[in-house]
Amino acid sequence: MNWLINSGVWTTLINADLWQSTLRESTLLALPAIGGVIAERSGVVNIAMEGMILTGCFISVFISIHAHNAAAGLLAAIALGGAMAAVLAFAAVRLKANQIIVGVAINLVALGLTSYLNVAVWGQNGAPASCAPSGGACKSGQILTIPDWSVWQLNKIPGVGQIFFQQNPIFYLMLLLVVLAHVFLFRTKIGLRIRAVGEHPRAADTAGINVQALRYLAVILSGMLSGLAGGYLALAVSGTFNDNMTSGAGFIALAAVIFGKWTPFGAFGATLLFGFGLALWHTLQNTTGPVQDYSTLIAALPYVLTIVALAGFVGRATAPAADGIPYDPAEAA
Amino acid sequence: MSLVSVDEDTVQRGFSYEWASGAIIPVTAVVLALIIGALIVRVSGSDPWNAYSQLFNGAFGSAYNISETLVAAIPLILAGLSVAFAFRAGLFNIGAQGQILIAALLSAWVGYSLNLPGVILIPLALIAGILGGAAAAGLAGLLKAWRGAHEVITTIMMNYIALYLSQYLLESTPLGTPGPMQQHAQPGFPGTPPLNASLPIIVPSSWVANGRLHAGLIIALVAALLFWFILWRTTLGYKIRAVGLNPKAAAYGGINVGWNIVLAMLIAGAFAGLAAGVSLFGTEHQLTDTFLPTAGFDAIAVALLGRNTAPGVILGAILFGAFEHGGALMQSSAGISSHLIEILQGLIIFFIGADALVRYLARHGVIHLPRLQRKEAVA
Repeated sequence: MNWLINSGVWTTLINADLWQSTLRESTLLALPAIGGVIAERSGVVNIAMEGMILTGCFISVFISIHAHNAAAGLLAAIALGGAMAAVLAFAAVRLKANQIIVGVAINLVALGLTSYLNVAVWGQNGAPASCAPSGGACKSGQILTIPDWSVWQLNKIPGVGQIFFQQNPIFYLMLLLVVLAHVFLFRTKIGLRIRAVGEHPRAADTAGINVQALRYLAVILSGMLSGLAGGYLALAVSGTFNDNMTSGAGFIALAAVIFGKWTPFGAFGATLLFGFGLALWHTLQNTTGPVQDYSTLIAALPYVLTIVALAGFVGRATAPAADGIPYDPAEAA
Repeated sequence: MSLVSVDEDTVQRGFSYEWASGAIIPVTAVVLALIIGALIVRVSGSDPWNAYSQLFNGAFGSAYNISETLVAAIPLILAGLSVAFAFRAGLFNIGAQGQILIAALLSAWVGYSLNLPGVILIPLALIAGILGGAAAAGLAGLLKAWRGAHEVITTIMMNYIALYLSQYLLESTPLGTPGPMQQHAQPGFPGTPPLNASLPIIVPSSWVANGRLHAGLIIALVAALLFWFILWRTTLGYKIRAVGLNPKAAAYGGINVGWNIVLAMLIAGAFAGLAAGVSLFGTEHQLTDTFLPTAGFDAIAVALLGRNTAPGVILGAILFGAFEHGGALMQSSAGISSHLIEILQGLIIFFIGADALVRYLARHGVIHLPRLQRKEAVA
């Protein structure tokens, strides 16, 4: 155990910064993951979450500058995420297109278009400077950000205070949304119907449930949550827009959906684990010690764990029965 | 669930008919993408005609540009064959990128650590890469066949695992510890030592000065022939296509579905692995952390555009090779961001994936598709 103590891992682990940033990373992952759970429960795989988050990043920055209002930026990100999801839903539900192919396409267009517009709108030097509205008057043309809250005086509690009460408002919103998503899916009539549509659309259809409408609803909700995650990343975490700034967050969220066995609480738990991995990776990169040389491998951990989960070594992960399969009412049963 | 729809009459009438009928959707998709791309260029205040003429000029405007377009097409042919082969088995290999990276690590390791003549070293290294790619894809196939894990998810996850593994092996840590495969002579440079052999250049310098078109093109074309041969002239290919068209019917017909899924992924991964080795020894001569950054993803578009046929994949790869090389010149000479290429690729994939949209537009008179309308009239 001596090497572990000397390696600096221990001092890293008891540092409140690590746990605070774990929750920051988890917020980014949990928002799309909750949406992914809802979409997949209805039978549509939203592989385009990555592109929706990235587009949310871009539009939130753009609107935050031009409306001179961070909340407007956030709302625009939610709306555009929902609109992109509507396109996916139209292709997947109405046209019965292959969801994976259309999702890959949306991701690619989102990556290309945001990178293209980044230069076209802001030039080679990128987006303008950011400004936290609470920190004084912001000039027009700056990106207004969403600053962290210090909750009452609770953030002054040593250790725990910084971790739980020095966070962004969107973190608390995310916690609320996890609970709401659970109640929605498992305690409401419409949630029950969404799950029915994802397990056995024909039976649901026979019972008079509108399969297509519910799938539209679920996919659009997932797009709105991905857009919100994009607004969070751009306005609350980084305060700017960079090309491909999501760097795979949407796919880690997709992994969290599976690792969490298609439940909101499970997915949230998975994002805590994956968020911890990401935070540990970033922290270890900037410290010295024998373990730190392997810090890049820690970044691969969420993906390894997801494959292990899918292989059924950590309890069986079973997708909704009709996940990813278009429903054709005219097709013979 | 079959991930790729194949027309029934296409299957019955076989190979030559397939390409003729299959070209309509891809060509429509490319045209629609170019139109939307032009609108984006126009809205952002540039001249789309100038953009596309520079793109075309950059891709085909001189003997050198044509040879560079073909150089860019080589890994895309092989990676496209990988995705197309998996599609034929009803599998979506999103993991060609990860398979390329794993293969590149093995190929490069053989290439720089063994000091052998090229005729021995290059085949050895290519085989190492093929095995690496096949193993990476085969694992996804095995998990699908044995545990029911969806290959889309496992291959996406493996893309990231391969990415971080190669970063770990090739790059220094922020504090300067070199990666295990990193070249020590050049501290901080994120790449392996140079390889001990190169593939020969196949175009004489009297035709193309400083041309880089290498024997990898021949390897890629032979691979395309092999792709066609396996699928259409062997029992294995028949079984794999049967599994892809209808796994339940295939199983009822006595075909071992699980085993053929594993075999299909192994072969798909082998094509991707070859893409890595050929590019390493043809153009790169050392493995760096920017090696073929998007080939595995472009391959999805190439396979879809090529309707999962060998000649289609070759044509699709040349188109995307042209986009890649021409796009760079378009950026430097017309000042249009080469990210336009990603937008075009995404739109092409979208229109092919949602081919029902193209038919929908045709039905409502927005675009004109003579052949498809005749088909509907017959029905």
